[in-house]
Amino acid sequence: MDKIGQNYPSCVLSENVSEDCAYDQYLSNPLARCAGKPPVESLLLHSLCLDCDLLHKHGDRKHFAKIASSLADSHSGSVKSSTALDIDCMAIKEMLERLSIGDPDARLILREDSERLRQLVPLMNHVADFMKDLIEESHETAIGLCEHYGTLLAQAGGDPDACASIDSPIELIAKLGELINSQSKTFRDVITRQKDQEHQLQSINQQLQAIIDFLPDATFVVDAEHNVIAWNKAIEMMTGVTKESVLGKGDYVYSMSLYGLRRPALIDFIGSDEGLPEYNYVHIKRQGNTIIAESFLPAIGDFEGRHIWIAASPLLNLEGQQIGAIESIRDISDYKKVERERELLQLQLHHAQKLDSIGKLAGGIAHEFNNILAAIIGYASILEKRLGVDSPHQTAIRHIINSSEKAASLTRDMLTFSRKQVMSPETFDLNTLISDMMEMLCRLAGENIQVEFDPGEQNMLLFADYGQLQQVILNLYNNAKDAMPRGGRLSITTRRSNCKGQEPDVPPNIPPGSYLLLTISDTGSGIDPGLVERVFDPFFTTKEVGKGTGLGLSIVFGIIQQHKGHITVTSKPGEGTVFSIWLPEFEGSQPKVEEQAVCTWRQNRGSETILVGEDNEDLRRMVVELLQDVGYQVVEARDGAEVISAMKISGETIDLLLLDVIMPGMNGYEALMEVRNQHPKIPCIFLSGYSNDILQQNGSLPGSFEHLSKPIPPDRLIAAVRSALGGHLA
Amino acid sequence: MPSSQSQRILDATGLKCPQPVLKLSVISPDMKPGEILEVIGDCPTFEKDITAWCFRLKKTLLVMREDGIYRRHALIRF
Repeated sequence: MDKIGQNYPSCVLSENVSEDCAYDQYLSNPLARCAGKPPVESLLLHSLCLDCDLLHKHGDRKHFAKIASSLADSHSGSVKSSTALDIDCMAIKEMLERLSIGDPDARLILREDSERLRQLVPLMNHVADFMKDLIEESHETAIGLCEHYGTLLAQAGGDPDACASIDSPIELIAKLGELINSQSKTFRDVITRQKDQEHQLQSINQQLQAIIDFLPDATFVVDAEHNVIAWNKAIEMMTGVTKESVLGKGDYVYSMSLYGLRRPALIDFIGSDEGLPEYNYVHIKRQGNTIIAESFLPAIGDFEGRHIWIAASPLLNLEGQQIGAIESIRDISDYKKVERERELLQLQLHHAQKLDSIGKLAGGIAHEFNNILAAIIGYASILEKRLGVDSPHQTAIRHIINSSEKAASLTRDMLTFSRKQVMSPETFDLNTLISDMMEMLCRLAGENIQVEFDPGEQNMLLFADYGQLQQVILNLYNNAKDAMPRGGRLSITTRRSNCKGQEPDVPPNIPPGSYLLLTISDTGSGIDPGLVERVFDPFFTTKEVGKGTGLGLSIVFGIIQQHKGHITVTSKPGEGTVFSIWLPEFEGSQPKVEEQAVCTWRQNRGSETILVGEDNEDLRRMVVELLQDVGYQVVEARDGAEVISAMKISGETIDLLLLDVIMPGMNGYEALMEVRNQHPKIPCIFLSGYSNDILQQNGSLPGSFEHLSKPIPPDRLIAAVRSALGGHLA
Repeated sequence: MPSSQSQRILDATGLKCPQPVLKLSVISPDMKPGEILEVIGDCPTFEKDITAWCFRLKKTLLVMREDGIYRRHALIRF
């Protein structure tokens, strides 16, 4: 064995193993025997020795055992002589063994010059070459497969760019590489398309989210399981609940945010055959697959209760299957408020129109009554004069006149109410006017309201419409009274105010001058600061429907403006309201009515010719008789056209025109304008039952004409006629 | 070179080529990047096949050595 180790240094045996084991390893490991590439003879010799031992152990292959026994003495380690043929046989055996274990380098070299053995060499080496090709191809195939396996493994691991080799000399392996690469490219294209689609989908989702966020209406979206998948900014502001706290949640989280209750909302009835929840909504209805309703959000936290309009609709996929739903909520509180105000305004307008109709009716009746009363009073006065003061019928006639004058006063009130009263300015004392009204105001106020009047100074003269000023005080009084349902104090004061334009308590736009300041204050509920500026607006009222027209203060404002005055209001809720009115003071002296009253019919007699234009026959006849009784010549005309005709015929003899304002066809004013073309200086007195549109435009008659309101007291009429004709006769 | 405890071993001793490289490919999915595998084999083309496998599959062949008992040990880093 030592010789074997020395002769075959490549076959290094471990010193720690027994010789037999070493032999076993050597025999069982052809690689070990081949690695050192010992000389063929030695190798063969050594192999034979080993084989001999091996074969001895296993008891077969006796032929080689026999040969070995003739070649070597295993116990002494000496090699016996052997024939070349034996060695060549061993070489053949060795080559076959190497081929059997897949050694591509196995080659056969023989020593014996035997022809028969030599013929084996090319054949054996041909087999060896063939085996070598097979081995190399099988190895290349195996490595190629491993390589492709690795590529597929890399791709499966998420590396779509992993490429397979396509340059294998094995065609199938190369083709397989191409196929893997082709499939890999297909996969990459699919993945790229999927990524593009995913990107597009993300973009669309982002756009949809932006659109939903942009919507001014509070909007949220749920999926098929009623979990919230979108919650826009408007609903965040409406509920105070953030998107992050509700996204992905179900269990009616939206109802909890909106209504404070975990209950089905309108969106939960989309696609459902259940009846609509009329108990939670109003005006609820289906329009196609959309549900529309109105509801009320209760006050939650810092949020006040709100009226809302809701629309809920399904979200469908391409197949028309419902995959979710969307609900949009609009706060219509302001709209509801405006709608209520509009309804209230309509009621007020209706109320005002009704009053206006009543006013027109009352005005019309008053006008007719005035004509009738004018005739009654006129004829009674004529009768009174004709019978003389000693007549026993004087008392009865006086009763007729007094009663008629009371009726005339009533018609004046009706005309005032209907605002058909023409502005008839006259000079009077403001304190007198108020004093005359105090009895009535105290009586109307009742026991709970104390009415006080503090006249500041004496001789506070105004040149104004007495009746309109009464209306101003009455309207302000009514307002004050309504503001004090539980009683209080109403104070009226008058003061003289010389405005120079700098006083802090005086309106800034008031021209400098002497004014009379009328103040009406109450201790009532006051006016809300936000409403003070609107109190003079037409139709504005805080009173209950039917209790006010909303026109009272606007009429006051209009009248004060008409009188070139100014009005202001100051108020404190719970303390009361103060209305201050500045009216221009009349600088002259008050006319003495008594002087007119003492003038007798005799003093006002005349002989001039007067053209009387009046469509009311009774009134016209009365006026004609009255004028004739005091000596005048009278020409009659029933309308404006007859006035023109009469003037054309006998215009030169007419000294005065006494015309009714309102007549059929051409009115009195138009008739006068026509007459003035030929007789520019002819004097004229107008009679009027109430104003018409012409008069209302300026609130007074055009030009400086004498105007007498019906029913005209006969004394006043003949005095006015005498005055227009140049005064009393000598 | 003794193997560390964490180092995995593929014993392909007795397997005829190209069985060792096929076994190596089968086991390779279990290997993590950076991990080292020791492959032991005794077939005549073991060294050549392992070298080719590492080159073609882009793995690093750290060592190829003989252990004195007619086997070869290859250390491959994945």
